[in-house]
Amino acid sequence: MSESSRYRRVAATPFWGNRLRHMEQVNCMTLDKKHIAAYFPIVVFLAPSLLLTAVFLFFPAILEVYFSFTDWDGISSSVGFVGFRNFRLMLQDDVFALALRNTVVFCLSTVVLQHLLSLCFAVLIHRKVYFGNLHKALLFVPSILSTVVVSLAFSFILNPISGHWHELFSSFGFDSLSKINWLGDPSYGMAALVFVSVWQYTGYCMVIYMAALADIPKEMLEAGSIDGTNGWQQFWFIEFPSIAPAFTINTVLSVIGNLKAFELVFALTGGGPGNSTEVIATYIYRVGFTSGRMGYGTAVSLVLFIMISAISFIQIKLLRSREQ
Amino acid sequence: MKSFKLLLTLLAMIILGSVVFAQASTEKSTKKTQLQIVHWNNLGDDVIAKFEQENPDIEVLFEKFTVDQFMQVMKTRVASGEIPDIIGAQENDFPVFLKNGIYKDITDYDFVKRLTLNAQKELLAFGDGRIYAIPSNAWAMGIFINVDMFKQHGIKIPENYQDLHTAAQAFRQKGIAPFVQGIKDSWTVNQMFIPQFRLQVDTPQYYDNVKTGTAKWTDPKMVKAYQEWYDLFAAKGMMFEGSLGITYEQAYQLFAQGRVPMWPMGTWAAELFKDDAGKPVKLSFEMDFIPQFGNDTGEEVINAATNIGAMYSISSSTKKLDAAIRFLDWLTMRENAEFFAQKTGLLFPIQGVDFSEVVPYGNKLIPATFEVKVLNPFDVFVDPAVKQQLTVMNQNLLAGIGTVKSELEKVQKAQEIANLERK
Repeated sequence: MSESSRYRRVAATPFWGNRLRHMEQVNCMTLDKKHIAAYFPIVVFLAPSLLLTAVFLFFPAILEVYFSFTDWDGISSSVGFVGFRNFRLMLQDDVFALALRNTVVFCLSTVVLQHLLSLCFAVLIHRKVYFGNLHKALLFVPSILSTVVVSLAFSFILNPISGHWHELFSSFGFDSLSKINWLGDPSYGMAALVFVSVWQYTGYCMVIYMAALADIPKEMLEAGSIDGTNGWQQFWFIEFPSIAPAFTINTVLSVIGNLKAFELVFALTGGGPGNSTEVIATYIYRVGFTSGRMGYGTAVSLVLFIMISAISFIQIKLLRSREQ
Repeated sequence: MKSFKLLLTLLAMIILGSVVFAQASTEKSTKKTQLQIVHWNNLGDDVIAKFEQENPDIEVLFEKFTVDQFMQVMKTRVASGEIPDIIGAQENDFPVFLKNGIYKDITDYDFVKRLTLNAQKELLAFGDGRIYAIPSNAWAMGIFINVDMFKQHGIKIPENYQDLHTAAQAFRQKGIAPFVQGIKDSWTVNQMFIPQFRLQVDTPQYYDNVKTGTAKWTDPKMVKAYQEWYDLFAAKGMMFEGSLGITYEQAYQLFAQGRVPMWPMGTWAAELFKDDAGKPVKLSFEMDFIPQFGNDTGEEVINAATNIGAMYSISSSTKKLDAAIRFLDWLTMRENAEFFAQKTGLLFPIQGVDFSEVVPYGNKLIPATFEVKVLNPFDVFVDPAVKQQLTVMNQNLLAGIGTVKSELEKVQKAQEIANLERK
């Protein structure tokens, strides 16, 4: 095919995929008017989203890197460059270490419980339990509620003096149970946060697993049943391996979401009492806004970003190899 | 194809027409000057309605945040260059905002002269000889007490610091938790710095000295003050069970229900002594408000108080200066100031306003605010990051985490970082 006829074919095709494939073949040095014409619609369509992403994501991210090396207080126009001081201080910061530990505990507990439960629910509903749609709806509804609304509701329910928890158990005579101060006792604060987070997002994870389960070819399950698999074997040897891609994306998203958890912790316990339920995101907010140490706060957020990226990368690598 | 083009043209004309019409309507509705006001204290819908009625060309857009959120919101607004026309100001962050030119100098406006002389004096001292705000709430720290419970148990109402300890211990021995506090809202914890205030009365420069490194949070004096604080509030049986999980409003509810004898809180809590219709409530027991005694037995009563704990400032970058000036001028007129105090429960320091008449339990609040010797609360002089650490320390001790000494070491560490960053 001559060069000019190839251009004609590209210009005539309505599919972006073909255009992109074509562009890969074209040497950049040989760009001419026809090439530009081929590029133009793509650039035009991508420009608004690229511009918005640049303004609201890339530019602030670059600024964040810059501010993490400064002593900016969040108000002053004068900003002093302090080199690696913020990062050095972080290494000696006990509260940062505690927040990091709490973040890991919160994330691991939530992800493990959430995915165990959501997998169970997904499999059960997929296997046609009674009132499956009702169960599906009931489990999914919490995930469409705002986290702030959920937190407020639970702060009423778990109120140690007048909450429903207190009322319910004291009315049955379980005084010690009714007196548990879920949000104000450092021994129980984290457990309350994990419970609420699991309650809210289990349904969301379940829906993703259900979609993946629905894609498993019936022939595969039938073959399994001919071979005499029981329910557990069907799950472990057929269903679970088949939904591996969904498991990967679901757990990666959960880990990312829980590592940067903010609204739930902020609205439910505020990171307290003391620092007992402080997580990295609430700590960033506390040092940046309340204490007026925006430079240090951005340095912590940069560390969080690197941490999330590294964990997600490793997780994807491991889970993808499992998919193979 | 022709009809398709016609349809497209028609559609374009409709959209264009709608845009033009919407623009015209917006212009019509924005003929009024929209005055943005942001504060953590309530301004009161009735106050806004009265102002708008008397100034029909101005529309007030009021936003209220909790005191914890307020400064954080302000910082983001300042950073984005969207500073409201009138902004709340508090003594902690005032110097930083002033240094950055956020506030307009209002010294020469006539309405400033309507403020009480003490308020003017305090403002001048705070603003380096100029006035940049009007105070909306002259407040004092103190303790709301249930007089009936004291009488019922034969416990003397405290008149000094030692009495307070004795009374608290007496209640505890009778199996009654003497105090309640809404500790879930972290700011409320700072209303219990009574021994720390005593240290300030004893050594006025102490909290300035920790900034220069000549005094430390771990000095024996401070350890002793905090140990006294611990014995008074954090020791077993001193705080109402569940206080760690409740809010400011819920603590008030418990006090108002007569379940607790003492609630350490500032005079601004008068805003809560109202029913849903905004009318003052009469509690079922005799209530009084005593100072947070900085004095020992036999000494003159001294309390932590300020005229400038909550203020209204005009943004130096406002494009609606005239409307902002008119608002402050209107608010400081005596009858409007009284109306404001009545609706919000705040002690607005304007000459001639009789708070005993207009604020719920005003007659109980005035003695501790205006009739005793007062000194600014110590935390006014503390770096924000250190204050934050103090709050955490108090919550930790109340939750049974750490010891006074180990927690004070953390505060000292925060102080050293603040000192380093200040340099």
